[in-house]
This record gives sequence, structure tokens and C-alpha cells, in this order.
Amino acid sequence: MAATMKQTLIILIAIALAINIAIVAVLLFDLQPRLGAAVNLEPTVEVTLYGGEIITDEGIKYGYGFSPDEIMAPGPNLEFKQGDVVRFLFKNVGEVPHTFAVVLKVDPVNPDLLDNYDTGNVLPDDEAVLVVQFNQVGTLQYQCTVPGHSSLGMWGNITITP
Amino acid sequence: MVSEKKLYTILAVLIVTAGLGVFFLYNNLFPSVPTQFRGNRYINPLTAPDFELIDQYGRPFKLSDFKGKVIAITFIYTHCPDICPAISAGFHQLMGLLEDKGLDDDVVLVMVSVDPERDTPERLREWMELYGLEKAYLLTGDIDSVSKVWKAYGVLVEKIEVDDPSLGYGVAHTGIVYLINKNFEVEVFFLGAPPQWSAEDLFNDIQILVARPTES
Repeated sequence: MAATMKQTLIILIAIALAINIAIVAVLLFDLQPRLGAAVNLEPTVEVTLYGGEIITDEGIKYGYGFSPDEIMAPGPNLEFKQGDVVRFLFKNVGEVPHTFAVVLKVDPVNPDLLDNYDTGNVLPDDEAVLVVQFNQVGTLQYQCTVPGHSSLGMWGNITITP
Repeated sequence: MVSEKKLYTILAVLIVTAGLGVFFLYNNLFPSVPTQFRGNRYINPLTAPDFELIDQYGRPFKLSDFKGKVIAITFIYTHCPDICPAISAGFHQLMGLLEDKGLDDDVVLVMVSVDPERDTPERLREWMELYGLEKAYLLTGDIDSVSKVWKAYGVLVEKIEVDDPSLGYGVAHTGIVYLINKNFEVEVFFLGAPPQWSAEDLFNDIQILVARPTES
């Protein structure tokens, strides 16, 4: 009788141990990203944009591009998915300071979205990072917030699709 | 040979840890606070631009007095025919959701006029009563002070002609709601007006910001 009781106990201990191990396994492998989701969001998309001046048939223009040789005015269209956490790395390959900012509507002097929310002046040969999570479907724009630069082509569109 | 008593002890300990584990998992798999933001979000937010204006009772209002709370700030005017009524109704609904969850003391709703010439404190108080915004701060002031706030928050404001002469003039302005976190940083922005966002969307993100501890 005592031996049977012991056997039952050992089986129960084995079951309880298995549940404990399963919980630890879930915590270690599955749950961690979810627990951290609200606080530390790792970028899901990385975009490197080069900014600077180019000489065109219409004279000197300012623009953006995905490489130093592909700078165009206006800059390329950027397309992201809803929920993307985008890390913009902006590199100034031009001769004068430039910035990169996400805006609601481009404006050469008063850009339409937290005009202090941009990389700030990035000196020639320097770079800066801006990280934004796009959760709303729609259209935004980006631009250089140095007054007048967007008029010379230093802007582009951002499209967020579902 | 292990005694039966020891086996009972081991079993008891394992059951307790399994119970705690299940409780912890349950809480995190079905969190009471949402984890996903619905508004656009700056991952490296910057300090909110501070300002001082006058509220709908003519009392001075300073934004940084509410540091430590979550602040929802938007821009409206009371002669607005389209988006401002939608935004105001959204804020009214949001206030209800916050009260239901007992969060109304943790959150401040701020609406800055984009038409200070016509939006006197009295006029804003009428708007407050019309939309049930008793707990919101409806702000106005002299044109210089108010336009500085628009500029700091990147809100474009432009007088336009309207078809209905009884409205006088219209004001084209940026439709946006910013959420300022408890560290006084502008972290989330919702573009446009309902239906582009809903009171539930704002409430979702506000709950995340309220639940997050303040950085020392």
C-alpha cells in the first residue's frame, strides 16, 4: 500500500515538474518578445537615405536617394506597411548641412509636423538616425527642414499601406 | 530511499511554482493593458514644447504643470464646419472611456484654438458645453502666443474663404492629435480626425503610456 502511494506521488511530481518546465520554456522562447513589445521596439525596416546637392539641366537641385549616386529631386517614394518600425539612417553626402524629417505636409519654411522632430542639422559627411513606427494607413511626406531646401527638391512621399 | 513526507513537500513546491507560472503567463498572454500602439510613434521621442495660454474660464494654463500625466493635445476652432466637431466628439467619447476605467486623473485633454480672434474663453466654454468637454482644457490667447504654439507643434494655420457667409472666414489647419508621455515627450501622433482615428484608438495608446513607469 505504501509503495503504491509513493508511486502515485512520484507520478504526480513528474507531471508537476513537466508543467513547470513547460512554463519556463514558454517564458524563455515564446513570450519574451511579447513582454518587451510595449517598451522596446526593435526596428523592422531599415532605410538608408543619402541627401545632398545635384546638378541638373535646371541648375542645382537638392534631393535624397538610396545611394550617393542616385540622388534625385524630389526624393524617392518610400513605402511601408502598417506597423513597421522604421529606422531611417540619413547620411549627408552634400556640401552644406541638411536634415531629414517626417512631416504631414511639406513646407519650405514651416513644415507641418513637429518641426523640431527631425534629425536636426547633419553636417556634410555626417549621419543621423530617426526611428518611427507607422501605425496609421495613409500618406506622409519627408523633407529637409533647412528653410528653402524642400523648394529645391529635398522632399518625398511616404505611403503606409495596410 | 526518499521518505513519503519529502515527496509530499516536493510535490507541494512544484504545484505552487506551477500555479504562479500559470498566473504569470495568463496575465501576460491576456494583458489588461494593450501592448500595441495604434497611432504613429516616435521611438526616440523629444521633449514637448512648453507654452502658457488661457483656458475656457480665462484661467492661465501652463502645459508643463501637467508633467507626469499623459497629455492628449489637438487643435480646433469653434467656427469649424468639418473636422473640429468630429475631433471634439472623439475627445468627449475618450473622456467617457477614461472615466470608465478610472484613468481620468492620469490624463489631461488639451484643445488649442487655431482661431484666437473669434475663440474667446466664453466662446470656448459654449463649445465645451455643446460637446461635453467639461474636463478638457480649451485654450486661446493673443495671436502671438497661440501662433507660437502652432509653430512648435507643426500645425499649419491659414485663413480661407468659405461658401457660407454666415461663417465669416474659415481656417484651414492641420488635423492632428499628439500624445505626450509622462516624461513630457511627444511620443505618439494620430493624423487627421475621426474616422481616421477613433476614441478607442486614442484610449488604447493612452493606456499603454499611463501604465508605463515614469523615468526618473
